[in-house]
Amino acid sequence: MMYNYNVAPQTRRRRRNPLPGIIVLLLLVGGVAFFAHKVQAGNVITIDAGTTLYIADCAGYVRIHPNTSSNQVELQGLGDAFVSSQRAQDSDTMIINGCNLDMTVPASVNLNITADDIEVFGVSGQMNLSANGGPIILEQDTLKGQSKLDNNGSPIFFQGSLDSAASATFSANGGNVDISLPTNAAFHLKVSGILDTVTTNIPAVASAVADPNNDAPDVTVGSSPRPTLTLELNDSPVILHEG
Amino acid sequence: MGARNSFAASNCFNVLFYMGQPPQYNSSNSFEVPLVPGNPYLNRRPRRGCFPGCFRNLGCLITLAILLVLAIGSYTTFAHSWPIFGPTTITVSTHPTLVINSNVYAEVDQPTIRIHAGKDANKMTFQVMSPGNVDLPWSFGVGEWQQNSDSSVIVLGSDPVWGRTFDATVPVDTDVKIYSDSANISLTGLTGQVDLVSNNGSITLTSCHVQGTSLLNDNSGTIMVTRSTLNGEAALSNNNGTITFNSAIGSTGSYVFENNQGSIDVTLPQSATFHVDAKAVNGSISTNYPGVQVQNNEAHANVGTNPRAVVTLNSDNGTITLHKGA
Repeated sequence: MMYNYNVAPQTRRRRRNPLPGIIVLLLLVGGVAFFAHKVQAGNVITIDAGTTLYIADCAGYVRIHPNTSSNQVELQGLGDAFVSSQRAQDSDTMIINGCNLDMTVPASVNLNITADDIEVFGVSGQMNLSANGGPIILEQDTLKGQSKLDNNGSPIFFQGSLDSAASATFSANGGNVDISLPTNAAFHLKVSGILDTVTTNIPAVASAVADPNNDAPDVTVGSSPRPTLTLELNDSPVILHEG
Repeated sequence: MGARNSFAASNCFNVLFYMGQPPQYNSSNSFEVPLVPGNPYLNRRPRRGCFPGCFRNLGCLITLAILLVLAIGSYTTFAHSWPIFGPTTITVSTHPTLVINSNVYAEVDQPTIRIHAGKDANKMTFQVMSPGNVDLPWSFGVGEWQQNSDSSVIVLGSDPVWGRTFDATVPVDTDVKIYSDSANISLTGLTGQVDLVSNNGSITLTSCHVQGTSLLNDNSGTIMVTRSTLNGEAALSNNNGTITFNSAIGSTGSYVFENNQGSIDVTLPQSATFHVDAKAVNGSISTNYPGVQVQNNEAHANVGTNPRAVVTLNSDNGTITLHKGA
Protein backbone atom coordinates (compact mmCIF):
# COMPACT_ATOMS: atom_id res chain seq x y z
CA MET A 1 0.00 0.00 0.00
CA MET A 2 1.44 3.39 -1.00
CA TYR A 3 1.14 6.54 1.09
CA ASN A 4 1.50 10.11 0.13
CA TYR A 5 4.19 11.70 2.28
CA ASN A 6 4.11 15.15 0.78
CA VAL A 7 1.62 16.56 3.19
CA ALA A 8 2.24 19.57 5.40
CA PRO A 9 2.37 18.92 9.17
CA GLN A 10 -0.88 19.52 10.88
CA THR A 11 0.42 20.61 14.29
CA ARG A 12 2.72 23.38 15.54
CA ARG A 13 5.90 22.26 17.15
CA ARG A 14 6.36 23.54 20.72
CA ARG A 15 9.80 24.87 21.61
CA ARG A 16 11.16 23.77 24.97
CA ASN A 17 12.00 26.63 27.32
CA PRO A 18 15.86 26.74 27.71
CA LEU A 19 15.75 28.73 30.95
CA PRO A 20 15.71 25.81 33.42
CA GLY A 21 18.69 24.23 31.70
CA ILE A 22 20.62 27.46 31.76
CA ILE A 23 19.85 27.94 35.46
CA VAL A 24 21.10 24.44 36.23
CA LEU A 25 24.26 25.10 34.26
CA LEU A 26 24.87 28.37 36.04
CA LEU A 27 24.42 26.67 39.39
CA LEU A 28 26.89 24.02 38.29
CA VAL A 29 29.43 26.60 37.20
CA GLY A 30 28.92 28.53 40.42
CA GLY A 31 29.61 25.40 42.43
CA VAL A 32 32.74 24.65 40.49
CA ALA A 33 33.89 28.25 40.87
CA PHE A 34 33.33 28.13 44.63
CA PHE A 35 35.27 24.91 44.91
CA ALA A 36 38.09 26.30 42.77
CA HIS A 37 38.20 29.45 44.89
CA LYS A 38 38.31 27.38 48.05
CA VAL A 39 41.16 25.32 46.66
CA GLN A 40 43.02 28.38 45.43
CA ALA A 41 42.54 30.36 48.62
CA GLY A 42 43.76 27.38 50.63
CA ASN A 43 43.05 26.23 54.12
CA VAL A 44 44.58 28.78 56.48
CA ILE A 45 45.48 27.95 60.07
CA THR A 46 46.58 30.69 62.43
CA ILE A 47 49.31 29.81 64.91
CA ASP A 48 51.29 31.53 67.65
CA ALA A 49 55.02 32.12 67.68
CA GLY A 50 56.88 29.04 68.88
CA THR A 51 54.18 26.64 67.76
CA THR A 52 55.10 23.14 66.71
CA LEU A 53 53.24 21.74 63.75
CA TYR A 54 52.45 18.11 64.41
CA ILE A 55 51.57 15.62 61.71
CA ALA A 56 51.52 11.96 62.64
CA ASP A 57 51.31 8.69 60.77
CA CYS A 58 51.08 10.13 57.32
CA ALA A 59 51.42 7.35 54.77
CA GLY A 60 52.20 9.84 52.07
CA TYR A 61 54.06 13.07 51.60
CA VAL A 62 54.35 16.34 53.46
CA ARG A 63 55.91 19.22 51.54
CA ILE A 64 56.64 22.49 53.24
CA HIS A 65 57.66 25.86 51.88
CA PRO A 66 57.99 29.17 53.72
CA ASN A 67 55.49 31.98 53.34
CA THR A 68 55.78 35.64 54.24
CA SER A 69 53.45 35.54 57.21
CA SER A 70 54.59 35.13 60.79
CA ASN A 71 51.58 33.24 62.05
CA GLN A 72 49.77 31.51 59.25
CA VAL A 73 49.97 27.99 57.96
CA GLU A 74 48.36 27.49 54.61
CA LEU A 75 47.39 24.10 53.29
CA GLN A 76 47.24 24.16 49.55
CA GLY A 77 45.87 21.89 46.92
CA LEU A 78 42.73 20.04 46.10
CA GLY A 79 42.60 17.65 49.01
CA ASP A 80 44.03 20.03 51.59
CA ALA A 81 41.17 22.52 51.47
CA PHE A 82 39.14 20.53 53.95
CA VAL A 83 41.88 19.18 56.24
CA SER A 84 41.09 19.77 59.89
CA SER A 85 43.41 20.93 62.63
CA GLN A 86 43.24 21.54 66.35
CA ARG A 87 45.47 22.98 69.02
CA ALA A 88 46.69 20.54 71.62
CA GLN A 89 45.35 21.38 75.07
CA ASP A 90 48.57 21.22 76.98
CA SER A 91 51.19 22.57 74.67
CA ASP A 92 52.03 24.91 71.84
CA THR A 93 51.29 22.23 69.33
CA MET A 94 49.03 22.49 66.34
CA ILE A 95 47.85 19.08 65.24
CA ILE A 96 47.09 18.80 61.56
CA ASN A 97 44.95 15.83 60.70
CA GLY A 98 45.98 15.26 57.17
CA CYS A 99 48.37 13.60 54.81
CA ASN A 100 49.69 14.26 51.33
CA LEU A 101 49.98 17.90 52.30
CA ASP A 102 51.44 20.85 50.45
CA MET A 103 51.90 23.55 53.06
CA THR A 104 53.37 26.98 53.42
CA VAL A 105 54.42 27.95 56.90
CA PRO A 106 56.11 30.88 58.65
CA ALA A 107 59.84 30.87 57.94
CA SER A 108 60.44 30.16 61.61
CA VAL A 109 58.39 27.28 62.96
CA ASN A 110 58.95 23.97 64.71
CA LEU A 111 58.02 20.74 63.00
CA ASN A 112 57.18 17.30 64.31
CA ILE A 113 56.25 15.09 61.39
CA THR A 114 56.03 11.40 60.67
CA ALA A 115 55.40 10.66 57.02
CA ASP A 116 56.65 8.54 54.18
CA ASP A 117 58.14 11.44 52.29
CA ILE A 118 59.10 14.76 53.86
CA GLU A 119 60.40 17.83 52.07
CA VAL A 120 61.09 21.10 53.84
CA PHE A 121 62.35 24.18 52.07
CA GLY A 122 63.60 27.39 53.69
CA VAL A 123 62.38 26.85 57.24
CA SER A 124 64.17 27.48 60.51
CA GLY A 125 63.22 25.68 63.70
CA GLN A 126 63.39 22.59 65.79
CA MET A 127 62.56 19.67 63.58
CA ASN A 128 61.71 16.14 64.48
CA LEU A 129 61.13 14.39 61.21
CA SER A 130 60.70 10.68 60.78
CA ALA A 131 60.23 8.80 57.55
CA ASN A 132 59.87 5.16 56.74
CA GLY A 133 60.57 4.28 53.16
CA GLY A 134 60.70 7.68 51.52
CA PRO A 135 63.27 10.43 51.63
CA ILE A 136 63.70 13.31 54.02
CA ILE A 137 64.81 16.31 51.99
CA LEU A 138 65.70 19.59 53.67
CA GLU A 139 66.93 22.46 51.55
CA GLN A 140 68.01 25.86 52.87
CA ASP A 141 66.82 25.06 56.36
CA THR A 142 68.24 25.81 59.80
CA LEU A 143 68.02 23.18 62.49
CA LYS A 144 67.49 24.47 65.99
CA GLY A 145 67.20 22.95 69.45
CA GLN A 146 66.99 19.19 69.80
CA SER A 147 66.32 18.28 66.20
CA LYS A 148 66.25 14.77 64.83
CA LEU A 149 65.95 13.47 61.31
CA ASP A 150 65.26 9.77 61.35
CA ASN A 151 64.92 7.65 58.27
CA ASN A 152 64.48 3.93 57.96
CA GLY A 153 65.92 2.87 54.67
CA SER A 154 65.76 5.92 52.47
CA PRO A 155 68.05 8.91 52.13
CA ILE A 156 68.36 12.09 54.13
CA PHE A 157 69.42 15.11 52.11
CA PHE A 158 70.20 18.17 54.19
CA GLN A 159 71.50 21.40 52.78
CA GLY A 160 71.43 24.19 55.30
CA SER A 161 72.89 25.25 58.61
CA LEU A 162 72.89 24.32 62.27
CA ASP A 163 71.92 26.93 64.82
CA SER A 164 74.84 27.59 67.15
CA ALA A 165 72.95 26.10 70.10
CA ALA A 166 71.45 23.19 68.18
CA SER A 167 71.90 19.54 68.84
CA ALA A 168 70.97 17.80 65.63
CA THR A 169 70.82 14.05 65.16
CA PHE A 170 70.71 12.30 61.82
CA SER A 171 69.67 8.68 62.16
CA ALA A 172 69.79 6.42 59.13
CA ASN A 173 69.23 2.74 58.60
CA GLY A 174 70.86 1.89 55.30
CA GLY A 175 69.87 5.00 53.41
CA ASN A 176 72.51 7.54 52.60
CA VAL A 177 73.01 10.74 54.54
CA ASP A 178 74.03 13.77 52.51
CA ILE A 179 74.79 16.86 54.58
CA SER A 180 75.91 20.15 53.08
CA LEU A 181 76.85 22.85 55.57
CA PRO A 182 77.98 26.41 54.91
CA THR A 183 81.64 27.16 54.38
CA ASN A 184 83.63 27.13 57.62
CA ALA A 185 80.72 25.79 59.65
CA ALA A 186 81.68 24.97 63.23
CA PHE A 187 80.28 21.88 64.90
CA HIS A 188 81.01 18.98 67.18
CA LEU A 189 80.59 15.74 65.27
CA LYS A 190 79.73 12.49 66.98
CA VAL A 191 79.40 9.35 64.91
CA SER A 192 78.07 6.03 66.14
CA GLY A 193 76.85 2.75 64.69
CA ILE A 194 78.09 0.91 61.63
CA LEU A 195 79.94 3.19 59.25
CA ASP A 196 79.81 2.75 55.52
CA THR A 197 81.72 5.06 53.24
CA VAL A 198 82.17 8.56 54.61
CA THR A 199 83.09 11.18 52.05
CA THR A 200 83.97 14.62 53.26
CA ASN A 201 85.92 17.71 52.33
CA ILE A 202 86.49 18.60 55.97
CA PRO A 203 90.05 17.54 56.80
CA ALA A 204 89.49 16.91 60.50
CA VAL A 205 86.54 14.66 59.78
CA ALA A 206 88.37 12.88 56.98
CA SER A 207 91.24 12.08 59.31
CA ALA A 208 88.97 10.81 62.02
CA VAL A 209 86.88 8.51 59.84
CA ALA A 210 89.99 7.19 58.08
CA ASP A 211 91.39 5.90 61.33
CA PRO A 212 90.61 2.16 61.33
CA ASN A 213 90.94 2.05 65.09
CA ASN A 214 88.31 4.69 65.63
CA ASP A 215 84.84 3.15 65.52
CA ALA A 216 83.13 6.21 66.92
CA PRO A 217 84.70 9.37 65.57
CA ASP A 218 84.28 12.39 67.79
CA VAL A 219 85.56 15.51 66.09
CA THR A 220 85.36 19.22 66.71
CA VAL A 221 85.43 21.49 63.72
CA GLY A 222 85.82 25.26 63.89
CA SER A 223 85.67 27.46 66.93
CA SER A 224 83.01 27.84 69.62
CA PRO A 225 80.10 28.05 69.81
CA ARG A 226 79.69 24.67 68.15
CA PRO A 227 76.38 22.94 67.64
CA THR A 228 76.41 19.19 68.06
CA LEU A 229 75.95 17.03 65.01
CA THR A 230 75.30 13.39 65.79
CA LEU A 231 75.21 10.70 63.14
CA GLU A 232 73.60 7.41 64.11
CA LEU A 233 74.36 5.08 61.23
CA ASN A 234 73.57 1.55 60.30
CA ASP A 235 75.69 0.82 57.25
CA SER A 236 74.75 4.13 55.71
CA PRO A 237 77.04 5.96 53.31
CA VAL A 238 77.63 9.56 54.27
CA ILE A 239 78.55 12.75 52.50
CA LEU A 240 79.53 15.57 54.82
CA HIS A 241 80.29 18.62 52.82
CA GLU A 242 81.18 22.22 53.62
CA GLY A 243 80.81 25.06 51.20
CA MET B 1 2.08 5.26 21.13
CA GLY B 2 4.48 2.71 19.82
CA ALA B 3 4.16 4.02 16.33
CA ARG B 4 4.67 7.57 17.49
CA ASN B 5 7.86 6.78 19.37
CA SER B 6 9.27 4.60 16.63
CA PHE B 7 8.58 7.10 14.00
CA ALA B 8 9.80 10.07 15.99
CA ALA B 9 13.06 8.37 16.80
CA SER B 10 13.74 7.51 13.22
CA ASN B 11 12.64 10.79 11.73
CA CYS B 12 16.11 12.38 11.69
CA PHE B 13 17.46 9.23 10.15
CA ASN B 14 14.92 9.39 7.40
CA VAL B 15 15.57 13.03 6.66
CA LEU B 16 19.30 12.59 6.56
CA PHE B 17 19.53 9.41 4.54
CA TYR B 18 16.45 9.23 2.47
CA MET B 19 16.36 12.88 1.43
CA GLY B 20 12.64 13.19 1.97
CA GLN B 21 11.85 9.90 0.23
CA PRO B 22 11.24 7.44 3.00
CA PRO B 23 10.94 3.76 2.18
CA GLN B 24 7.63 2.36 1.36
CA TYR B 25 5.91 0.24 3.90
CA ASN B 26 3.38 -2.42 3.42
CA SER B 27 0.42 -3.06 5.60
CA SER B 28 1.95 -6.02 7.33
CA ASN B 29 4.92 -4.24 8.89
CA SER B 30 5.12 -3.29 12.53
CA PHE B 31 3.52 0.14 12.36
CA GLU B 32 0.39 0.14 14.37
CA VAL B 33 -0.94 3.42 13.07
CA PRO B 34 -1.14 3.73 9.32
CA LEU B 35 0.93 6.51 7.87
CA VAL B 36 -1.78 8.28 6.12
CA PRO B 37 -2.07 11.85 4.95
CA GLY B 38 -2.85 13.98 7.94
CA ASN B 39 -0.72 12.01 10.34
CA PRO B 40 0.96 14.76 12.42
CA TYR B 41 4.27 12.93 12.59
CA LEU B 42 4.83 12.85 8.88
CA ASN B 43 7.51 15.13 7.54
CA ARG B 44 8.43 16.50 10.95
CA ARG B 45 11.62 18.45 11.16
CA PRO B 46 14.46 16.76 12.98
CA ARG B 47 14.16 16.73 16.74
CA ARG B 48 16.58 18.55 18.95
CA GLY B 49 18.39 15.36 19.82
CA CYS B 50 19.67 15.25 16.29
CA PHE B 51 23.14 16.79 15.89
CA PRO B 52 22.41 19.36 13.18
CA GLY B 53 19.42 20.54 15.14
CA CYS B 54 21.57 21.21 18.17
CA PHE B 55 22.99 24.33 16.65
CA ARG B 56 19.57 25.79 16.36
CA ASN B 57 19.26 25.56 20.11
CA LEU B 58 20.61 28.32 22.29
CA GLY B 59 20.96 26.00 25.26
CA CYS B 60 23.28 23.72 23.35
CA LEU B 61 25.47 26.60 22.32
CA ILE B 62 25.71 27.90 25.87
CA THR B 63 26.55 24.41 27.12
CA LEU B 64 29.30 24.02 24.56
CA ALA B 65 30.69 27.45 25.39
CA ILE B 66 30.72 26.74 29.11
CA LEU B 67 32.39 23.37 28.61
CA LEU B 68 35.00 24.99 26.40
CA VAL B 69 35.72 27.67 28.99
CA LEU B 70 35.94 25.06 31.74
CA ALA B 71 38.28 22.91 29.68
CA ILE B 72 40.59 25.82 28.88
CA GLY B 73 40.48 27.09 32.44
CA SER B 74 41.24 23.66 33.87
CA TYR B 75 44.18 23.17 31.55
CA THR B 76 45.74 26.57 32.20
CA THR B 77 45.31 26.41 35.98
CA PHE B 78 46.40 22.93 36.87
CA ALA B 79 46.00 20.29 34.19
CA HIS B 80 48.93 21.49 32.13
CA SER B 81 51.21 19.94 34.72
CA TRP B 82 49.63 16.53 34.41
CA PRO B 83 52.07 13.92 33.20
CA ILE B 84 49.93 13.14 30.21
CA PHE B 85 50.83 16.45 28.65
CA GLY B 86 54.27 15.49 27.49
CA PRO B 87 57.79 16.49 28.51
CA THR B 88 58.03 18.79 31.49
CA THR B 89 60.32 21.81 31.27
CA ILE B 90 61.40 23.79 34.33
CA THR B 91 63.36 27.02 34.43
CA VAL B 92 66.20 26.80 36.93
CA SER B 93 68.94 29.04 38.25
CA THR B 94 72.63 28.74 37.50
CA HIS B 95 74.26 25.53 38.73
CA PRO B 96 71.12 23.89 40.07
CA THR B 97 70.75 20.72 42.07
CA LEU B 98 68.49 17.90 40.94
CA VAL B 99 67.21 15.48 43.56
CA ILE B 100 65.49 12.23 42.62
CA ASN B 101 64.24 9.44 44.83
CA SER B 102 63.04 6.23 43.25
CA ASN B 103 61.65 3.29 45.15
CA VAL B 104 60.74 1.19 42.14
CA TYR B 105 61.93 -2.35 42.74
CA ALA B 106 62.64 -4.81 39.95
CA GLU B 107 65.03 -7.73 39.87
CA VAL B 108 65.05 -7.96 36.10
CA ASP B 109 64.34 -5.55 33.30
CA GLN B 110 65.11 -2.60 35.50
CA PRO B 111 64.16 0.91 34.46
CA THR B 112 66.74 3.60 33.81
CA ILE B 113 67.22 7.11 35.13
CA ARG B 114 69.11 8.87 32.37
CA ILE B 115 70.50 12.34 33.03
CA HIS B 116 72.39 14.15 30.32
CA ALA B 117 73.63 17.64 29.66
CA GLY B 118 71.63 19.96 27.46
CA LYS B 119 72.55 23.20 25.76
CA ASP B 120 70.33 25.45 27.82
CA ALA B 121 71.95 26.62 31.06
CA ASN B 122 68.63 27.42 32.72
CA LYS B 123 66.28 24.66 31.67
CA MET B 124 65.60 21.16 32.84
CA THR B 125 63.41 18.91 30.74
CA PHE B 126 61.96 15.68 32.03
CA GLN B 127 60.19 12.96 30.18
CA VAL B 128 59.00 9.48 30.94
CA MET B 129 59.25 6.94 28.19
CA SER B 130 57.35 3.70 27.78
CA PRO B 131 55.19 3.84 30.89
CA GLY B 132 54.40 0.42 32.23
CA ASN B 133 57.12 -0.88 29.94
CA VAL B 134 54.85 -0.36 26.94
CA ASP B 135 56.44 1.33 23.95
CA LEU B 136 54.34 4.29 22.94
CA PRO B 137 55.10 6.75 20.16
CA TRP B 138 55.12 9.70 22.56
CA SER B 139 56.65 10.51 25.93
CA PHE B 140 55.14 11.81 29.13
CA GLY B 141 56.22 14.48 31.59
CA VAL B 142 56.58 14.36 35.34
CA GLY B 143 53.61 15.28 37.40
CA GLU B 144 55.16 16.80 40.45
CA TRP B 145 58.25 18.65 41.43
CA GLN B 146 59.30 20.97 44.21
CA GLN B 147 61.73 23.81 44.02
CA ASN B 148 63.16 26.29 46.45
CA SER B 149 62.60 30.01 46.22
CA ASP B 150 65.45 30.69 43.80
CA SER B 151 64.93 27.56 41.70
CA SER B 152 68.37 26.30 42.54
CA VAL B 153 67.08 23.00 43.89
CA ILE B 154 64.62 20.83 42.04
CA VAL B 155 63.17 17.83 43.81
CA LEU B 156 61.10 15.48 41.73
CA GLY B 157 58.09 14.40 43.70
CA SER B 158 56.56 10.98 43.88
CA ASP B 159 58.55 8.45 41.95
CA PRO B 160 59.39 9.67 38.46
CA VAL B 161 60.43 6.21 37.39
CA TRP B 162 57.04 4.95 36.28
CA GLY B 163 58.19 4.12 32.79
CA ARG B 164 60.89 2.17 31.11
CA THR B 165 63.17 5.18 31.04
CA PHE B 166 63.13 8.46 32.89
CA ASP B 167 65.08 10.97 30.83
CA ALA B 168 66.26 14.34 32.09
CA THR B 169 68.06 16.99 30.11
CA VAL B 170 69.75 19.38 32.51
CA PRO B 171 72.27 22.23 32.35
CA VAL B 172 75.88 21.07 32.05
CA ASP B 173 76.67 22.50 35.48
CA THR B 174 74.26 20.56 37.64
CA ASP B 175 74.67 18.76 40.94
CA VAL B 176 72.79 15.48 40.94
CA LYS B 177 71.56 13.53 43.93
CA ILE B 178 69.77 10.28 43.17
CA TYR B 179 68.63 7.53 45.46
CA SER B 180 67.41 4.51 43.55
CA ASP B 181 66.31 1.09 44.61
CA SER B 182 66.43 -0.74 41.30
CA ALA B 183 66.67 1.82 38.57
CA ASN B 184 69.91 2.03 36.64
CA ILE B 185 71.47 5.48 36.87
CA SER B 186 73.22 6.98 33.90
CA LEU B 187 74.87 10.41 33.80
CA THR B 188 76.44 11.86 30.69
CA GLY B 189 78.30 15.09 30.11
CA LEU B 190 77.65 16.76 33.46
CA THR B 191 79.88 18.90 35.64
CA GLY B 192 79.17 19.05 39.35
CA GLN B 193 78.80 17.19 42.58
CA VAL B 194 77.10 13.81 42.45
CA ASP B 195 75.55 11.68 45.14
CA LEU B 196 74.31 8.51 43.48
CA VAL B 197 73.06 5.59 45.48
CA SER B 198 71.47 2.45 44.12
CA ASN B 199 70.54 -0.89 45.58
CA ASN B 200 70.67 -3.23 42.62
CA GLY B 201 70.74 -0.88 39.68
CA SER B 202 73.90 0.08 37.88
CA ILE B 203 75.60 3.48 38.11
CA THR B 204 77.26 4.74 34.95
CA LEU B 205 79.11 8.02 34.43
CA THR B 206 80.29 8.95 30.98
CA SER B 207 82.15 12.13 30.08
CA CYS B 208 81.39 13.77 33.42
CA HIS B 209 83.49 16.16 35.45
CA VAL B 210 82.75 15.30 39.03
CA GLN B 211 83.56 18.14 41.38
CA GLY B 212 83.24 18.44 45.10
CA THR B 213 82.42 15.82 47.65
CA SER B 214 80.86 13.01 45.70
CA LEU B 215 79.65 9.50 46.25
CA LEU B 216 78.77 6.58 44.01
CA ASN B 217 77.38 3.80 46.15
CA ASP B 218 75.87 0.53 45.06
CA ASN B 219 74.91 -2.77 46.58
CA SER B 220 74.76 -5.34 43.81
CA GLY B 221 74.80 -3.30 40.64
CA THR B 222 77.87 -2.31 38.71
CA ILE B 223 79.62 1.04 38.93
CA MET B 224 81.30 2.20 35.74
CA VAL B 225 83.02 5.54 35.17
CA THR B 226 84.54 6.23 31.77
CA ARG B 227 86.01 9.27 30.01
CA SER B 228 85.37 11.34 33.13
CA THR B 229 87.32 13.30 35.70
CA LEU B 230 87.07 13.24 39.48
CA ASN B 231 88.11 16.32 41.39
CA GLY B 232 88.00 16.91 45.12
CA GLU B 233 86.87 14.07 47.35
CA ALA B 234 85.06 11.14 45.81
CA ALA B 235 84.19 7.65 46.90
CA LEU B 236 83.04 4.71 44.81
CA SER B 237 81.79 1.87 46.96
CA ASN B 238 80.05 -1.37 46.23
CA ASN B 239 79.05 -4.53 47.98
CA ASN B 240 78.64 -7.29 45.40
CA GLY B 241 78.90 -5.52 42.08
CA THR B 242 82.02 -4.56 40.21
CA ILE B 243 83.69 -1.15 40.08
CA THR B 244 85.26 -0.20 36.77
CA PHE B 245 86.98 3.16 36.58
CA ASN B 246 88.70 4.33 33.42
CA SER B 247 89.01 8.05 33.90
CA ALA B 248 91.18 10.78 35.32
CA ILE B 249 91.58 12.09 38.84
CA GLY B 250 92.67 15.50 40.07
CA SER B 251 96.23 16.14 41.15
CA THR B 252 94.98 16.73 44.67
CA GLY B 253 92.09 15.33 46.63
CA SER B 254 91.10 11.94 47.91
CA TYR B 255 89.64 9.12 45.82
CA VAL B 256 88.37 6.01 47.52
CA PHE B 257 87.39 2.76 45.82
CA GLU B 258 85.87 0.18 48.13
CA ASN B 259 84.27 -3.16 47.48
CA ASN B 260 83.20 -6.06 49.59
CA GLN B 261 82.68 -9.04 47.27
CA GLY B 262 83.15 -7.52 43.85
CA SER B 263 86.25 -6.54 41.95
CA ILE B 264 87.85 -3.11 41.56
CA ASP B 265 89.39 -2.26 38.21
CA VAL B 266 90.99 1.19 38.04
CA THR B 267 92.74 2.62 35.00
CA LEU B 268 94.38 6.03 35.41
CA PRO B 269 96.05 8.24 32.79
CA GLN B 270 99.80 8.04 32.35
CA SER B 271 100.11 11.56 33.67
CA ALA B 272 98.32 10.85 36.96
CA THR B 273 100.33 11.62 40.08
CA PHE B 274 99.10 10.04 43.28
CA HIS B 275 99.86 8.13 46.40
CA VAL B 276 98.16 4.75 46.46
CA ASP B 277 97.08 2.71 49.45
CA ALA B 278 95.64 -0.62 48.37
CA LYS B 279 94.51 -3.54 50.45
CA ALA B 280 92.75 -6.75 49.45
CA VAL B 281 91.92 -8.68 52.58
CA ASN B 282 91.05 -12.00 50.94
CA GLY B 283 91.61 -11.13 47.32
CA SER B 284 94.56 -10.14 45.22
CA ILE B 285 96.17 -6.98 43.84
CA SER B 286 97.69 -6.63 40.42
CA THR B 287 99.16 -3.58 38.73
CA ASN B 288 101.35 -2.60 35.79
CA TYR B 289 102.76 0.46 37.54
CA PRO B 290 106.45 -0.37 37.82
CA GLY B 291 106.94 1.45 41.10
CA VAL B 292 104.04 -0.12 42.91
CA GLN B 293 105.03 -3.28 44.76
CA VAL B 294 102.47 -5.63 46.22
CA GLN B 295 103.29 -7.35 49.47
CA ASN B 296 100.89 -9.35 51.61
CA ASN B 297 97.93 -8.22 49.55
CA GLU B 298 98.80 -4.59 50.20
CA ALA B 299 100.43 -1.86 48.17
CA HIS B 300 101.61 1.56 49.28
CA ALA B 301 103.49 3.76 46.86
CA ASN B 302 103.93 7.16 45.29
CA VAL B 303 103.41 7.59 41.58
CA GLY B 304 104.75 10.73 39.94
CA THR B 305 105.82 13.92 41.62
CA ASN B 306 104.05 16.33 43.95
CA PRO B 307 101.30 17.36 44.16
CA ARG B 308 99.77 13.94 44.48
CA ALA B 309 96.21 12.85 45.00
CA VAL B 310 95.48 10.07 47.47
CA VAL B 311 94.00 6.91 45.96
CA THR B 312 92.63 4.29 48.31
CA LEU B 313 91.67 0.83 47.06
CA ASN B 314 90.07 -1.54 49.54
CA SER B 315 88.52 -4.92 48.91
CA ASP B 316 87.43 -7.62 51.27
CA ASN B 317 86.95 -10.59 48.97
CA GLY B 318 87.38 -9.25 45.47
CA THR B 319 90.38 -8.53 43.30
CA ILE B 320 92.01 -5.14 42.80
CA THR B 321 93.56 -4.15 39.48
CA LEU B 322 95.38 -0.88 38.98
CA HIS B 323 96.26 -0.08 35.38
CA LYS B 324 98.46 2.59 33.95
CA GLY B 325 96.51 3.83 30.99
CA ALA B 326 97.73 4.56 27.53
